Amino acid sequence: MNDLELNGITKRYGDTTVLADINLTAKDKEFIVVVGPSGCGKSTLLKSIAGLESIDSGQILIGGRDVTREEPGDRDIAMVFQSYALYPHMTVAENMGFGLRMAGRPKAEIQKAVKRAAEILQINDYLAMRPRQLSGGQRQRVAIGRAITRSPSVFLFDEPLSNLDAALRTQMRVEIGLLYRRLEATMVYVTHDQVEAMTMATRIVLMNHGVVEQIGTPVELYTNPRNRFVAGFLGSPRMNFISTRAVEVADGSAVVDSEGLARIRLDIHNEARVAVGDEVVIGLRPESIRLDGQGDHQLSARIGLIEQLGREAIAYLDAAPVRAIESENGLGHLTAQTDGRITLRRDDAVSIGFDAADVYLFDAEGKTLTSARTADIRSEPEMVDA
Amino acid sequence: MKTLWRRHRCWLWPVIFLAPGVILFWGVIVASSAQSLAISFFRWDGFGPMTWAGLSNYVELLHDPQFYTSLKNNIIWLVMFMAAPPLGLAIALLVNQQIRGMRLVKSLFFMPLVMSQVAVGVVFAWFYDPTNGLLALIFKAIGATAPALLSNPEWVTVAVVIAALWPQVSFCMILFMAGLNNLDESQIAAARVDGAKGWHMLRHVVLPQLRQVNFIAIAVTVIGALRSFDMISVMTSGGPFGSSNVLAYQMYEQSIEAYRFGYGAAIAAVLFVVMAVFIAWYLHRMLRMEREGA
Repeated sequence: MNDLELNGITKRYGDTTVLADINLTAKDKEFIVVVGPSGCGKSTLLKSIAGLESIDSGQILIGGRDVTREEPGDRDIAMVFQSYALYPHMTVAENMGFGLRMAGRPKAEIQKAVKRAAEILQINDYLAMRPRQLSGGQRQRVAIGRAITRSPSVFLFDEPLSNLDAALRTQMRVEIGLLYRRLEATMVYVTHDQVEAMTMATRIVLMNHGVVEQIGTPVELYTNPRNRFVAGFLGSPRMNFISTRAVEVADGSAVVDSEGLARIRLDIHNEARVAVGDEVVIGLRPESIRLDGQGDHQLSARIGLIEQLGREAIAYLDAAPVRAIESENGLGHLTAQTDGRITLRRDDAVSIGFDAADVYLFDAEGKTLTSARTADIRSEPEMVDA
Repeated sequence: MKTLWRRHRCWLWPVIFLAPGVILFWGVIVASSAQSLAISFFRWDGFGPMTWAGLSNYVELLHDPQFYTSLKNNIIWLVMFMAAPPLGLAIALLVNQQIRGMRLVKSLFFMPLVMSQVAVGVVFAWFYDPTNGLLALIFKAIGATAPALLSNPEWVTVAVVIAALWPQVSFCMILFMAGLNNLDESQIAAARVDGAKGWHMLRHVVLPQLRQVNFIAIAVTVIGALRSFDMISVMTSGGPFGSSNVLAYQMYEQSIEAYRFGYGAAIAAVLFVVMAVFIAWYLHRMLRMEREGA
């Protein structure tokens, strides 16, 4: 019973609401990743779960026990901080055993727990050292070790990899994934990095302005975003959005039309509210745009820029009069992701194509209108076995 | 000229910036200390000719009961002054709480620092006054007679030190307040998650982070105790019968009032040695801390 339940968490600073009615139930042994742009309230949410911030209303249950008013130390949680937050005057072993020491556990038990955690993280050799003698990656390991030593019901991670360099970040990401498999505990992981969210989470909580935009598996969120914010946040390069107008609405489908873009018929779901003449936005992921002109719809464009990444290439396309809103390069270019063996160059004219089935439709407020599509990719995060 | 400057500016700049400090330090501190030491081997009234006295000033000092009284009082100062850092820390922890009106309390604690030492001395002398002082009024209120602290050889030093502690505690408080503002918040948060509260939080997480501030507070307090002068001058002039005298004041008394500059310089030399022991310890600790990078 390691589940975590958040019921209607609300927090305000003066007149600003930083957390608005957050509800989340993490079933036993889930890896929840809370992701969102900076200032969205994700760290505040984590601190509220930890008890480091008080909440104005709502209820927090850990393992079925109401801990809303409990001290952080009594909540049966452990937290890993972005800045590691190790005690500099203590050795690694003392750092790791501090929680149990404060709980008044006998020395032998503390030693055993520290040893076990050190073995899991392969930091036995550093146990007698001080944090300042360790590198960033080693410090982060110790911080994780300190969390493991306490064997809590819920692990909280506050952007733990942000202070590491790129190579180390990837390595630690994989390690935390393995650790999750091994510990079989509930984890709540806050990050602004969508790669971490997509790769580690069993479920993602995507937040914006203190509100949960969508909760679901990574693939679910990627394939069926509930609104334009979710669609635009997940995926790199991000989805292309093009303003257009509904010209025909029938039961279960709508046709959009705008200058330069042929009429596109799209399946919409039953609750979708759209009328003829409404301003709508279509969304098209960069990988859905093809530079060979294949697909249901074509339009002509000129290559604005090619970013060659080796395995893949990103093409920025000037498809005037069709212009992308909130485009990646700010010029209204469409972004397409293609094979790295591309031979096209800047200023080349191309015919680009896409399928109507890949197009998303959003209303003026950003709500998704197109009907849900099946996520036929594996939705469990891929992990290497130890 | 220009090329000459360009070629040499990498060492000229440091020299220019260091020069004022180096000149002042050598002129005001080192040279005059050396001169004082030299004077201690002479008999001199400050005006007339200096006559060589060898070690006789030091021999006289060793047989002077006043020297031992002053030395003993310096030790009393030192020991009692050690209360300033923990008291300062306690008050800093208190005023660091986020409570309404704490800003006013904070500024009240700042008060003795703003006042000159002489004013503090005068205020405390009034406070101790056995007929009209506040202490006398308090004693009267409970039906007792106030002791004349400043004319009691047993208690006079303690009374003066208490007066001197007042601004010293404030000073330590400010040091600790600055230290408390620089605490690593994530460490505090981590300790809260680890279940540390109250005394454990202070002992294991807060105090270790205040180590450097604590070191400075102790160093400043020791120096303050050893060079105590103005309070004694204002409150007792070393009296009654030299019972509240300390080395720094005795030195002043002998040189300026008794025109015995050689003898005064010998006292200064002894005080210098006492301080040097402490300064050596201080430098040693500081260098070690810097090496550790803590």
